[in-house]
Amino acid sequence: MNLSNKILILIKHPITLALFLFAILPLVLPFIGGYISLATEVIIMSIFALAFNLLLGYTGLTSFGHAAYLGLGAYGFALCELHLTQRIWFVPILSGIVLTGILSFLVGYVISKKKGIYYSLLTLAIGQLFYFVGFRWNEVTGGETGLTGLVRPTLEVPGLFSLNLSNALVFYYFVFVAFLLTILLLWRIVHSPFGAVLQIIKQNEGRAKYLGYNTFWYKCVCFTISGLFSGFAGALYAMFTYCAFADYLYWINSGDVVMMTLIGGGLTSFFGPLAGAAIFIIARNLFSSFTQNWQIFMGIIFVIFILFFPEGLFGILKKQKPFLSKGIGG
Amino acid sequence: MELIAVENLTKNFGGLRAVDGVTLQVKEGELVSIIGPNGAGKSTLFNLITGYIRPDKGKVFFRGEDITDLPVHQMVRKGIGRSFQLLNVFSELSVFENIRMGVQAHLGYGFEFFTPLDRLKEVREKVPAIIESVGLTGKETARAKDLSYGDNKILDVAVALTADPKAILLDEPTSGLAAKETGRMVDLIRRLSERLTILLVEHDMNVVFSVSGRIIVLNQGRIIAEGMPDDIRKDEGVQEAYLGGEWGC
Repeated sequence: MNLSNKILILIKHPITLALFLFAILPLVLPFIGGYISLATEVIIMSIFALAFNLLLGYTGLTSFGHAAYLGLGAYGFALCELHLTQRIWFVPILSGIVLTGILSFLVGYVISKKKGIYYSLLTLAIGQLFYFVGFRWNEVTGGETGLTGLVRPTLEVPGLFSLNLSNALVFYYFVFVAFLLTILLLWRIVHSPFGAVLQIIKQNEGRAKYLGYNTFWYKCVCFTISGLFSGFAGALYAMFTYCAFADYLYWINSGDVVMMTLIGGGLTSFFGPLAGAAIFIIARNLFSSFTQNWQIFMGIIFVIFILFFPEGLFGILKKQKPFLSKGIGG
Repeated sequence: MELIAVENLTKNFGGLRAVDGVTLQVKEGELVSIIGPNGAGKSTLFNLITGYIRPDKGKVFFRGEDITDLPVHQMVRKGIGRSFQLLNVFSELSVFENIRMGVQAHLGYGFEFFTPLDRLKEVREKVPAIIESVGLTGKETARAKDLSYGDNKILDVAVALTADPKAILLDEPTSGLAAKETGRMVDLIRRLSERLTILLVEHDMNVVFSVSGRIIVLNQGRIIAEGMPDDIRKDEGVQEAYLGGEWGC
């Protein structure tokens, strides 16, 4: 394969399109009544929804408590900034990821033997457990008032460049790079031998065992990876909002990520969650700007999607463009 | 040498004793069929031997090793394969992908997170031979759900073969098949029996009597007869079990 062919394939790749759209998002959003920080929220929630979809869309595991891992990432980031260091910019982010990774591994280990509704209820209960710990443990999490006064570090290579992340646009593109990293890693994971096993577990876990796969460990590791990326999104979210609250872990937010993923079409496409996060956050912003009862409208949108387009936005698109669908072939 | 040995295996479902103290042995290289009227406990016995469900009492041995409580994936790695009565392949995957997932497991891959799937040459190269050995060549790219029922059943057996089993348990491999497809399946069973030990549950008596080396008759969870096909055909107890001497089909 020569170089121009390779470049052509790269340009035509759906990841390129997704990146392009997200790269210009803060530039076009003002035209539809949005602002830069709305785009930032979309992109952080996209990372979260992609992480969530590794469980729901690829492995068929429904977590109703995933906001907990977003919140833990935020706590991990905040605790590191407040008590350890804010000097080296990536250390607080890393501690958000590590804290979430450890806890999601433990949770994954406990729940991965369970199936169906028991699995989902356990995720919900454990998620709420984390929420209440966050809400009550004043000494560590700040309880109701949360952890505030966080700072966004300045990215600096002395003599070369210095990026001030408290600038909204600069911060957006910082998160964009995080998003790029996430999308590349997750894309590789779902198209790896590991990702292929996840997808046959979704189709028929019993038979996957009869091929010789120890499905317990696959589900446990999958939950951990999903937790790691959720924690990553959570750390970015703490940077974004300059604080970490117990509210981030609340189960309503777990419902939101389910909604984003389903509306966008996470069950049919790798990219579904991106569209879902964008639709969800922009619609929420739009509705809440002219009515206090915006949740009713969000509910109606969700119901319409589930009734008439159960495969989400990408389920509709897929019929025109088959390359958008996922599959473990090729 | 005994490859599979079952000792006093018992399973109750509520008040019903589905399998009642079954003891049997299968020698290496044998093809043994288990027959019996509906509800005799054949499928339950199969599910007990392959770890699909766990017995209330009794033991299962494979090459002399107690495997009664072994998790399914370890049982498979020891060399026991099985097919399923109801279609149980990965219907969204193509024939090639179905087989590849099995080969991948057999070769011990699965926790590679960043390797592209196609990069596993060792896995990819083993797939065509298995597809060819069951006669599905030319249908590699067809999705399982688009295959005929007969091809699906053959694919089901092929998937079990990917684990390179020493023994394979076939659960009603010809049920629901038309005459021509049954013929293909019987050919496949014959070919497999040249190199594998086979335990077969089957309704079609023509198939059973034409391929089996030995037959075990189950009724109400118990073994009521055991022997060569000719002996079983003449056995009065067996004929009674099958409602007045008529062979079920």
